[in-house]
Amino acid sequence: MTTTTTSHGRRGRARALPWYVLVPGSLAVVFLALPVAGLLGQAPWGRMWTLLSAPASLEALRLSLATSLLATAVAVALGLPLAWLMAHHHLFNGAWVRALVTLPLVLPPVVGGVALLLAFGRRGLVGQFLYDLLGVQLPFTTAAVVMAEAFVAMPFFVITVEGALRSTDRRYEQAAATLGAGRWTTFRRVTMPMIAPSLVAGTVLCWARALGEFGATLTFAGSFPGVTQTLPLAVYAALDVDRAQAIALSVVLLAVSVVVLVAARGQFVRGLLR
Amino acid sequence: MTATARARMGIDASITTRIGDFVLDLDIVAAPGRVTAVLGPNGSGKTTLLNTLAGLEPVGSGRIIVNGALVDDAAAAVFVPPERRRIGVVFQDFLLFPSMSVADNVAFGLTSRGVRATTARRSAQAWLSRLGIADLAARRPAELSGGQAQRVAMARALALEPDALLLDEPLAALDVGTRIEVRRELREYLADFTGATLLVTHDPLDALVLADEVVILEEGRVTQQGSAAGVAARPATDYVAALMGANLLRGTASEGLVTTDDGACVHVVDRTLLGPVVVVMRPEAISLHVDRPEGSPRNVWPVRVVDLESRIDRMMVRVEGPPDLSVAITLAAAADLHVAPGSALWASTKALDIDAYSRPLMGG
Amino acid sequence: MTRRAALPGGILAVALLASSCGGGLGAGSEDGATRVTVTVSAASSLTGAFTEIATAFERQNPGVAVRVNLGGSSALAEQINAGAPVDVFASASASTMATVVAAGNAVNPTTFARNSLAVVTPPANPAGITSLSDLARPGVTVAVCAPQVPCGSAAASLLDRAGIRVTPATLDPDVKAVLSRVTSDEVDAGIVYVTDARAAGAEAHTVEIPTSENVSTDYLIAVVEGSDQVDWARSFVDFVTGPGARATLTTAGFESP
Repeated sequence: MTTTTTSHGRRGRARALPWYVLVPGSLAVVFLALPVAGLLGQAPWGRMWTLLSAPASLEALRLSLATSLLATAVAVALGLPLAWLMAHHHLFNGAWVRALVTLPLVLPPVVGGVALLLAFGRRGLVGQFLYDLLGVQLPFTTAAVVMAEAFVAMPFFVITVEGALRSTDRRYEQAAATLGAGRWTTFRRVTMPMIAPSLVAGTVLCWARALGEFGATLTFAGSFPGVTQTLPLAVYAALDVDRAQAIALSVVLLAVSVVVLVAARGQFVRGLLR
Repeated sequence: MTATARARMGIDASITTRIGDFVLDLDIVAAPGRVTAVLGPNGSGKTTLLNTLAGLEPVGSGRIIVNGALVDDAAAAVFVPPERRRIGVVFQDFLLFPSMSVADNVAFGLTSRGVRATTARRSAQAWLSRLGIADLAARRPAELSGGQAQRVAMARALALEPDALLLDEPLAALDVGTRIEVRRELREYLADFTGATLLVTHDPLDALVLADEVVILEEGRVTQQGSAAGVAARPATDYVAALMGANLLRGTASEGLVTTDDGACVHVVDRTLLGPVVVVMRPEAISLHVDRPEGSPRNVWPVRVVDLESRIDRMMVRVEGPPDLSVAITLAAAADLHVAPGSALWASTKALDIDAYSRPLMGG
Repeated sequence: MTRRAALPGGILAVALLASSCGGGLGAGSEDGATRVTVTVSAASSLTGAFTEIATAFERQNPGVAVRVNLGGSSALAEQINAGAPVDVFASASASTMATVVAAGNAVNPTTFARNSLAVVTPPANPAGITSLSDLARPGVTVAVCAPQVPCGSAAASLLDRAGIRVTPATLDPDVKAVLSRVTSDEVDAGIVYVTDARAAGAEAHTVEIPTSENVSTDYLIAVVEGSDQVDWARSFVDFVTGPGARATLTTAGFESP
């Protein structure tokens, strides 16, 4: 922020912000805040506890937490090596790999779900062999929920971490090598700490996206309470009959996301990094 | 020395590496217990040489032998990766791991090689004490001054007790004030190190002060090598001539006064120096006057001009005193002073502009 | 609200402009300057039938354009109760229509069609489904609508009445989703409306459910209160409930009420 350099340069002396920044910026805040306010204003606060402690709500919440955490684990386990390859290996940093990784971000999630069906459905590219030879059918299983969430959420992790890896000074890795550290030791003790903020941010974003996943899950995994009906699907199902229930569940989603996003930016994570 | 005797200890390398249009093509030998400076301008291939010796880049063709072990040989398809060469490297900007404390940085090499954490920590602490920075152990690299970071980087490289030590512009990242002090310290540590030390630099002062042997690298090739004094005395190329303009005087110090071997008196800042010393003066730091100057410079000598040589932006004036000096003055100043061979002038310099080092074991 | 208020003003302006140019007021209907638009919100199961009916109505009434807004009955009702500028509402469920009536946004809805359920399977019928009771066989994957939407509650009461216990693989939010799972061969069977089964043609194999066991839902239509085009809206409702639309509805699989 620019401040005038007066001897009594207190905050009040800060230069006036130009209106063409202040007005649209404030409008953006209002635009983002109003729907949240609407949700909170309509929330059935009096019946909140009853609505949320209903077995159906708890079931959806439990399923959502379990699948989103698993999907995040999958995204990190596969995405971290991919991010490394993209940052450092010529075979993986071409436009095609980049586009492929970005695709789930720009694809409507429903289309992502259809694509997953065409790959892993029982008539899909891979799915037909799984079904015909092993009798395994992925759609309509909890595993399918995890796959759909991982598919949609992984790019958030990969892109965040790849950017960080790309911008790290590789000479630190060289320095580690001259000190006798093998590649894994170097990655674990030198590279990882340097990209830690991005690792955390990427993981949190990935998890938040997985938690909110709707379209791909519905299309690929279906919706059945306790098996595939995650919180967002339960919200959608409830919307037609019981708005109060739907809003109560939405408030839970909102609360969990806000807590995590704030924590990810704030002291909590910085503390973890110490 | 015969080839086999050479190959036994230290670094013995014969490297040809092509990077685009640039070709690095040299033979280099660094003997154990001695400091070899590779001196060259930017783009001469110094960093490539260092990276190749460290194993961060393979040789295009040729081979590298360190303490008798073949670590890189293109023809024999031998390549020992950097983590298995016993070569310590001190990088120009030190590259201390930002997330680790100073102690962890120094212990890193040991733990990476499987030494138990407690043992490694104790060893790291010992090295820090040896370099006089034991009290910095808990700090993060971001909390260190340039000189402190340099010492930590040295400790980190030395903690592994490497067969050879590579220093990449070890003083370039430091400000001028700390550079003189750190350079003197570096001399002491290097004197204790029993392996071969290869020092890469573009600063002739580093080479003159720190090195026993100087190798001049220009455009990927060695253009001259020999003792520091020898190279300075008989420059083989323009680059060396320009570079080695620094005045190197030997003498004996006592209470801030050095009596040079040719009989001149030189005031220096460091009053603790005692006994044989080397005094280094940059030609740029010396002024010439028609009349005896009055003012702050404490070193004033009557001199006679021996010869002149004009460079692109300056005039190099050789004068005989004592002391015998090379002085750089601007072309305009040369015109004003009517400098010509045989002119009698006064030379002066501030004690602050003079570097003096004790000269314990240097031969000659 | 703003849009509704602005519309007549706009038309007035166009009319004034036309008259000031010397054109007769009567000529307006031919050149389209006073062209009328009737907005119809219809349940998505009416997609095929209403598209055809709208075209027929437009052909019969030059100068009138029918805009069909399709969606889930509940969502459409929600929009109308929130003040969306709609002239006619056609609901796939009596209870949904009731919410609109209760909100004072419609009066006297008319039942114009009836739909019943059918079992559909992929064309090859991989699980060999021949009757409703086959859906309860272990290993048979079944898709039905979620119980919260009309097709789901109908399917639930169908199975309930037949005394068949089925664990569906998925409870989808609308009938099109169920049908698409069947046609893409991701499930062995699905329960959909007869009209959907018919619309799927060769893409799905239909297993009919005997009338005695079947469950049917009523389709209701009404003029939305506060419509800008009350007369045209009423004549569209009359057209749908009258003989003009009957053949189209029957072909689509709807029964007469």
